[in-house]
Amino acid sequence: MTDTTEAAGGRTDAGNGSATVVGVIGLGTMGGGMARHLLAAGYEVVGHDVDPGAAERFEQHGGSAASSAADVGARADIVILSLPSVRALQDVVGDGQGLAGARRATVAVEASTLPISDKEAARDALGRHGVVLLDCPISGTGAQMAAGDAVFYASGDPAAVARVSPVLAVCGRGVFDLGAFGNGTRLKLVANHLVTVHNASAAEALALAGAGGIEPGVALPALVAGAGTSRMLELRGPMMVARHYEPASMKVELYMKDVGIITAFAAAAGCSVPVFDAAARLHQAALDAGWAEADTASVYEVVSRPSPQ
Amino acid sequence: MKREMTSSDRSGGPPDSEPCPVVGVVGLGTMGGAMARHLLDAGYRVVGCDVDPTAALRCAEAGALIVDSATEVANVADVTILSLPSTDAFENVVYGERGLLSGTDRRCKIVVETSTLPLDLKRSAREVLAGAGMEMLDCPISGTGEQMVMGDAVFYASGLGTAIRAVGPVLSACGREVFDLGGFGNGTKLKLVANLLVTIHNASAAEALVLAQSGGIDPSVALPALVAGAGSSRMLERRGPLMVTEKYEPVSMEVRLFLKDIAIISAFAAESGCSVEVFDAAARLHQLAFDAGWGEVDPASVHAVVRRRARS
Repeated sequence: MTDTTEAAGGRTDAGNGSATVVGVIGLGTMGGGMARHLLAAGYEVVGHDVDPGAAERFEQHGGSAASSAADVGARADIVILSLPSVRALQDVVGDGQGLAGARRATVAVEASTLPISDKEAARDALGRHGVVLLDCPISGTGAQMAAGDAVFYASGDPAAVARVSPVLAVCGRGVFDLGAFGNGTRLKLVANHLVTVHNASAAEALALAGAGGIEPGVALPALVAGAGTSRMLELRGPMMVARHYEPASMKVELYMKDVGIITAFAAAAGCSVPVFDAAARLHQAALDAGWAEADTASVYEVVSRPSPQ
Repeated sequence: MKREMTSSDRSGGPPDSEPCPVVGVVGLGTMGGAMARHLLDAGYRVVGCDVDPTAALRCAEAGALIVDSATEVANVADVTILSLPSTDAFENVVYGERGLLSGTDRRCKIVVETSTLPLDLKRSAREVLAGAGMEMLDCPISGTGEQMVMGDAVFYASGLGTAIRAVGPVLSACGREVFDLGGFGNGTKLKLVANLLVTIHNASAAEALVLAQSGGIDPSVALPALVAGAGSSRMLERRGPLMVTEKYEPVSMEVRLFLKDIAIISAFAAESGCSVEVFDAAARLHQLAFDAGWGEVDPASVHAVVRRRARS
């Protein structure tokens, strides 16, 4: 069962009675969102971000800012990593300086979407210092994370997954234990395969409705209620109807990196994915058309241009 | 609540104090039969007919009055719902010797056409029926047979606004929501758009589950995690379980019939000057499923095609 004891202003880890301190390294959209959910649930949270602005917002919500990744590792029992790049992960793991020198933390949760080989290298480096790293990406947009609507694809050491599950559960809608280390990232790629296709299908559907004489704003709620609905239609359909793609919950340019990783994953797995390939081309067309900084919903602008008659 | 209906109801009207229209249902198959049962459950008196005596009998057992023809349905019912499998069946019901136009003692004022049929066919029927005092609505259903049975289908109503409002409660009794989409024909057009999404999302579900499996994750473990995530769709929820078992049963729609819908969607997109490349890719996978011999199986069998193309 999830431990919900609140003792001396903090939540406790199952069994040992002392308050569980959760660390969050990387306090951007996702990490900052998790930190706020943890604080709201009564956890003591120690956080760090290289961006002083993000750290300041975190403190305003009641978090305790640490001076470095090593400092987080010295003060927290469980550390969540939410990082933008492989380089950032390598810096955080460190070489005796970062989490690898942790004096208190025994479990780290790698929640970013990064190549599995880099996550494995981090796992091995931390393992040598007695810290168990889990591969645990998030399926959900920044808006979903803020609303407590994201899910966690956990993978790695089963005892560690069981230990962090109650902590992750307060940050989102569900925690799935997917088995061996790396399976979380693999399933995240599969989920993003679907996200890519369903973003493109939402664009095609609203464009076709419009071309057929039905206002996209009238079509959308009827489509959402029907057999053709998807999470992406619900979330990005309104941006397409408004033709307004800011603020971006995922920028086209950044997302194209994910699209490239999914393509490589499918090729390595020997899996032909023609529907995804067609959707990926539309995302590339959006990038080429100048929508790099806009939300991926802007594929609608590429689709809604009538083809030459 | 079940209710017996006798021929005296024709002249006697509903026994309730509230005015409650008699609803006719022509075509008592999966969709029409389920609508008839929902209406009976909601307390409506239902009169129906079907060329298949077994389908008719099931509705009679549920409490509907069964008559021999669409003519007789229109004589008894205030509102007549059509749920028909083909162009031929539709033309028979409208223009046939024992069709809607043949009666002389007609009570029906509104005809709700819920089938998915070519729009020009519906348009000409609407004109002819209007000449005989019946307002026809174009009102296809988005949802599988199973969804209709569960009361989870939605109606894409289009046509005369006052007629849509008049039948609103009747349709609400059969499904989850009724949308007024404006001018006659918009219902069918939006149904095609919904089916464009169904086609793509069926194919994307197949690709995703095969990709997970190729990556070493058991599809039965992957499915609930994908359904909970940002990549979910109604099709993943509904057809994903059929793909995980690789049995593609129960059949809620046959591939060979769905290919007809796909051809109509392609034609609609071409006429509208709208390029739909993701749909085209999904359509090809459905064609491959048909070519591989899955014609009479659920479209979830697209999964078998994607699986075979993957290096196992």
